Amino acid sequence: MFATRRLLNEIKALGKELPENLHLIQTSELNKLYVDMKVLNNPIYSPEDIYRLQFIIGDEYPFESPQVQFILSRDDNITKIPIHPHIYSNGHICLDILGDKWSPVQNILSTSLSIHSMLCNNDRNERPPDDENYISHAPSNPKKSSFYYHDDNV
Amino acid sequence: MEEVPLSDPSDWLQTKLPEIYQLDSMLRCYICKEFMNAPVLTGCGHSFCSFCIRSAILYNGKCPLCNEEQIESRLRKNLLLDQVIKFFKNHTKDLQKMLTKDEELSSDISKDDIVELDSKEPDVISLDSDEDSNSNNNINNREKRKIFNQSIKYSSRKKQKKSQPPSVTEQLRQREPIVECPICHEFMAVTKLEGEHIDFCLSKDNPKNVTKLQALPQSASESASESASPRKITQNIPKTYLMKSSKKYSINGDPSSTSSFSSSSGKLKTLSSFLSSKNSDASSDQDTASASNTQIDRDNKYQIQKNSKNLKKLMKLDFNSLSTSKLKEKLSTLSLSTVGTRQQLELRYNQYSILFNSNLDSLNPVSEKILKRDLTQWEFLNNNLDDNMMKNKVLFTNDHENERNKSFDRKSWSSEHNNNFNKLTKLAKAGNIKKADQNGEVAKNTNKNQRTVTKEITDENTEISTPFGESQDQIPTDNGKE
Repeated sequence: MFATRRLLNEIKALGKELPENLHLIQTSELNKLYVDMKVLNNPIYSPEDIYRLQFIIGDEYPFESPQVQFILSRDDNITKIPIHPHIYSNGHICLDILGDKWSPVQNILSTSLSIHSMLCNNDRNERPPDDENYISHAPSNPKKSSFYYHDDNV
Repeated sequence: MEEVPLSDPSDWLQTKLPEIYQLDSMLRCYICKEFMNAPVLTGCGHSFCSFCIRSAILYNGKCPLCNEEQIESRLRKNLLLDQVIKFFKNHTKDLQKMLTKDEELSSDISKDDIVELDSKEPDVISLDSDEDSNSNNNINNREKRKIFNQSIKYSSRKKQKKSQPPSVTEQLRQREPIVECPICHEFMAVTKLEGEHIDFCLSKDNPKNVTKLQALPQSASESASESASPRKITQNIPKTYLMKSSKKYSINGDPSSTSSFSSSSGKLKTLSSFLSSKNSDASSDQDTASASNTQIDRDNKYQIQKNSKNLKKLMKLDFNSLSTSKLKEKLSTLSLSTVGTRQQLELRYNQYSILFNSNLDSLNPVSEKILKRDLTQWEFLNNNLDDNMMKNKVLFTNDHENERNKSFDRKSWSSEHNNNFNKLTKLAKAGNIKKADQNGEVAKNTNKNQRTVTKEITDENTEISTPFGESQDQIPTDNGKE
């Protein structure tokens, strides 16, 4: 109930506070949200491409971080996972605030903004070094893999 | 937890004063995104809902904002903030109404000004307050003004005034600064003072010996009461505020309550005896504050004493060194249920201590019954309870229920109702065999579904073991590249 109430609060605010390049999509399930994003001003990403970020919010939210990853959707013509040295080709994101650095102060807005700015500031057109190895036996829930942070500079 | 309609700071962005957005978001808890309920201060100086930060500390022992290690016992309540938030919460609706309606209002006011100039009425403020309080009356008023003669109009307005006394918000709605007339010392809007009042005031030497206005006794008395009304308003505000503040402060013993200054010496004795009986840290803060302040009214003392009874916070238990039977003992002294697995008992104690302790931080704590109801809800929602337990409602070892259970005679009851049962079973067998079968099947199916769900869950749990292997895998590949 605690999680639901906070989530409702957030969704209400998200509608008004999301910047133009981000777009919130609610699903039939309350605890599952999509945030579609466009990355402008970065030559690595085409400005027409839309990337979809999926949030699955657990019962322990906000004390526990949500499950966040990029997904594809044929229905909505979303065909790409953004290329980034911290984003695996299965959509999993290696970001400390989604793991141990999560704090209840973070929310859907702040997380999507961090990931969006991660893309905007990216200058390396590559996947993580262990991409193939990882996706071959990655768990379905990205929170269950304990990421090894390659370097903190990106 | 509370039945408060959802609101969020961005509501202010559409108003005439979007800056309130910042104030609104500052008064909200970072964890639950609502106005802080019983705010407490952490050791690092951040404020959260008592309930939220206690849950957060239980979860990982850190301040969510700065990641500093926190201990639950170091949390201190933030009473001033609590009052500020309560005030803001209470006036949010009025403020929002005011700030969004402002444009319409200003156009209304200008129209009315014109009307008044035509009819040469000196009362701007009272008219506005009439208009604001009811937009329907607004139209009626104007029509009346045109149709009826003056005496009827005034009487109708007087009635309105009685039914709708000007409130604080209406006074605030009058955005013009209110100033004191240097001659008659009445308070009114600047434009009114500069426009007609100053002339009106100067034309009569002594306001009480009205000579010129005797020709128009009705309008004179009316205008006097009208021009006095803003003063009434301004005088009323501090009074009501004082009442409120003294009430609020009485809870924490703030020196601003002045009402019982004279009788304070008699109460000092009881206060000192009370001081000696205090037993917890939190109460000592309050008491030192109240001891320095000799002006405490009865409510105040009563409140503190009432608080001091409950002021002992529930201690955090070291579950590792606590046997299950002792834990059960602990729970039963709190008249909580002792049913469930060891883990459920621990969770129950933790949750209840959070609820209980955060309740103590509140300005107006609720009774333990409500806390226990919240606890049941929580247990129900978190599936800590079996369905059977919920059905039997054995969560709380309520004294009444205990007595009922003790005196409950099973044999006599079953013999009494045996006939009824038999009848029912016969009826069921005879009439609805098929239906009964179907129901049985459904029940079986649901059971199966539940089983498969639990299986899936266990499957997922086994996945946890895999990532450790991966993370070890990752290291060598990375080292090889770098």
